[in-house]
Amino acid sequence: MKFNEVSEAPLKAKLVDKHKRFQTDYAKKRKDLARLFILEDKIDQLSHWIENIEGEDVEKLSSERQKAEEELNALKSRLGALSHKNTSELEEKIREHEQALAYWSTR
Amino acid sequence: MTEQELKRKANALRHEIEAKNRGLSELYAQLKTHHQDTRSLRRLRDSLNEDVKEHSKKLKEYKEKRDKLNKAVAELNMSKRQFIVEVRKLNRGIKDSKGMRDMLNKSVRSTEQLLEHVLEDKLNVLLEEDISLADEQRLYDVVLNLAQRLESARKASQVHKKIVEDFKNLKEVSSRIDSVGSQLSDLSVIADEYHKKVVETYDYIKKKNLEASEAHRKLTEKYKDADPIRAHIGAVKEEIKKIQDELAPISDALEDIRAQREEKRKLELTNGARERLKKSKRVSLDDLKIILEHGPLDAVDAPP
Repeated sequence: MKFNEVSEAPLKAKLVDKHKRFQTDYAKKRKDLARLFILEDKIDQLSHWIENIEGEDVEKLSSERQKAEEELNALKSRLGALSHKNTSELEEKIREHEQALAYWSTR
Repeated sequence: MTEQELKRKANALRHEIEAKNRGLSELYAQLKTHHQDTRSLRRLRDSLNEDVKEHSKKLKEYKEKRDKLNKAVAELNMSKRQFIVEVRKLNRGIKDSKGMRDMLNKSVRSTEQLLEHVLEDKLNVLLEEDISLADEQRLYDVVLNLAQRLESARKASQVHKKIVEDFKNLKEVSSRIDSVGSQLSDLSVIADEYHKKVVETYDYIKKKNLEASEAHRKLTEKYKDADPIRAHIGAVKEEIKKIQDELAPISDALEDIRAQREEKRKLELTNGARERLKKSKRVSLDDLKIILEHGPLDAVDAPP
């Protein structure tokens, strides 16, 4: 934003955009986090099966577990610190941005 | 009247004419002196008039030059007044601008660069970082305040530039005023010189006109003074004519007497010569001359 454009209305519009952007971003991360939990659970389940069964299926399950681990690592890398949070914290963040959005939209 | 009486009368009249002629000579001498005086006065008057004419030409030239210079001076004065008005306007503008700049600077309380730097940081946090609404509200006010101060700083900077520009213009206009003032001073001096010349020439012409008028008046008086002399000459001439008229018949009468006497004397001489010729049949050379003068020889015997 250029300095000479800084005034109440454009600044509020920019803040509205910012909160919309954060909302979208956090909603996407919330989805990623849910996927992360699913992948962790899937890997646990596949590990359990691999340890308790024999035959050709072990190889297939191991391959599937590897795919899940790769996807999980990519997700963790993308989420960063958020990967350690739970969804309720993200929900809280989204709610805060909704409130802020409402505030700047109506001020 | 006898011949003697006629002669006395003729002599008296001739003396009277001579006396009148002498008087006439004196009168002509007076008239000659008069003519010399009038010639001298006329020359003086004409010379003064010529001088006035020449100086009138100069006066016209001086007036034209003075008027031309005065016109140039008036135009320069008008320019100077316009420049002075411009200077006042610029001074007023500078004063107002300074007031505005100082007022803006009071609200700025920083430099434009620092404000830009801080505003950039705060704006970045406000618009890019995930912060609480409370922090946003606080930063929102801070950013608006900074933006306003920055705008004021920029305005103050623009006003300052205008002040600098106005000072530059002021200097230029002041320089023009000095230049015009200098030109005015020079032209005024020359215009004054021509004005003095006009006044001096005018006074000179006035003085010479008076002198010429005085010479003309004296000349006219001289002409008038000559009138009685001319009248006197006329009168004397008339008197001489009258005397001559009176003298003419007397002279004629005397001439007749003289002629008769001469004729008688010649006749006597001729008769004497004839008598002598008759008596001696011979004649002297003088007698022959007398006889020949009187008439032909064949008339010798004619009775006297």
